[in-house]
Amino acid sequence: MKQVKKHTTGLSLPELTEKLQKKDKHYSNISKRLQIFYWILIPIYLTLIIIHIFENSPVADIIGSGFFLLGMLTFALLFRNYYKTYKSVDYAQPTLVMLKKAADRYKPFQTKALWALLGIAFIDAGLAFGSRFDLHDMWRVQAIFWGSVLIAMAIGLIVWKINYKPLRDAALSLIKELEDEE
Amino acid sequence: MKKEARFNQLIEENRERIKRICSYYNSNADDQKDMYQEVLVNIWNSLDSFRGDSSISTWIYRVAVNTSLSYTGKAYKHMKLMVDADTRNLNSVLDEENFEAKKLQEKQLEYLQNELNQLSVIDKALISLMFEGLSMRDIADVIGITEPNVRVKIHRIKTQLKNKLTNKL
Repeated sequence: MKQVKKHTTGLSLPELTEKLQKKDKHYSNISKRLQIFYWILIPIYLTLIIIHIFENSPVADIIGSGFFLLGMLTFALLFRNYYKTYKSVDYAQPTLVMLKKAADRYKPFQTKALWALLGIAFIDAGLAFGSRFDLHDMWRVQAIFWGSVLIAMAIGLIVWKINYKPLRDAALSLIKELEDEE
Repeated sequence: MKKEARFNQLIEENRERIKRICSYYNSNADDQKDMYQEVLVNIWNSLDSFRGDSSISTWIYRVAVNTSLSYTGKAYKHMKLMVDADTRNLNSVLDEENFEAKKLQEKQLEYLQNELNQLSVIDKALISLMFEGLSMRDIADVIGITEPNVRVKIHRIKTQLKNKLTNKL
């Protein structure tokens, strides 16, 4: 939104309309790219797994690839869901509804984040089944994997605290003010 | 009708209304222009969701007020509500007192302007809709709270403003 604002300042209506149409087209292009991921890459990966089955590859490799595929699918669907949620902010809703949705959107931990954990677990399972590590190395790999996940979560929380917590706090305070005197 | 044509028609018909709302929140012409553009962007983005459940003016006011709340972001508390002598329905705040309106108008306006800017962002939004001449029902539709709640809030704001103005004049 900020990007659009910067570029639309002082434009005439036809110029602005053109910019808005371009923005819609941009969203549509992102959506198309996501569809390439869903409908081309995932079936290709699935085909490779099937080929492995027919070539009598080790069962662990096949199971590992299956988990990777599930991980990819989970993240792809989650990403699509987030994209839709953030794209469809509707400013024409009643103010109280818009504020409540904003407060919900900027919560640090959302129920749908559990799907991300599931995706991570699938990828970890893929790593465990598909690799040729001995038990000692496996522990090390697991420690590095989950350590990286924890670091990523900590970075995510810091980003949330800097960028989104002030917005959520402002929305919550406005909701409280609106609902007072009911 | 295509989205572009609907959008252009909507803006042509409501240009002044949107500009007025923007002028309530910004004293600076450039800021008004920026906010106007942002309201237009949000109207465009929300246009597909308009199904005629509310009147188009209520819908436009929602987009404008919601944009104004989001517009200044973290600095929203510093947002000012600007009024001038031409502001419609300004008398809905002042008329009920028997001031010598013509003599004191300028002074009142200055005080009123100052007091309006002390209001919270929600109170500013409510009072700006009242200046626009919206009924309590319409304000409730825009903000999403009950009509009695709007009445209570507006009554509180008006009493607060009148008390302060009476003490000063």
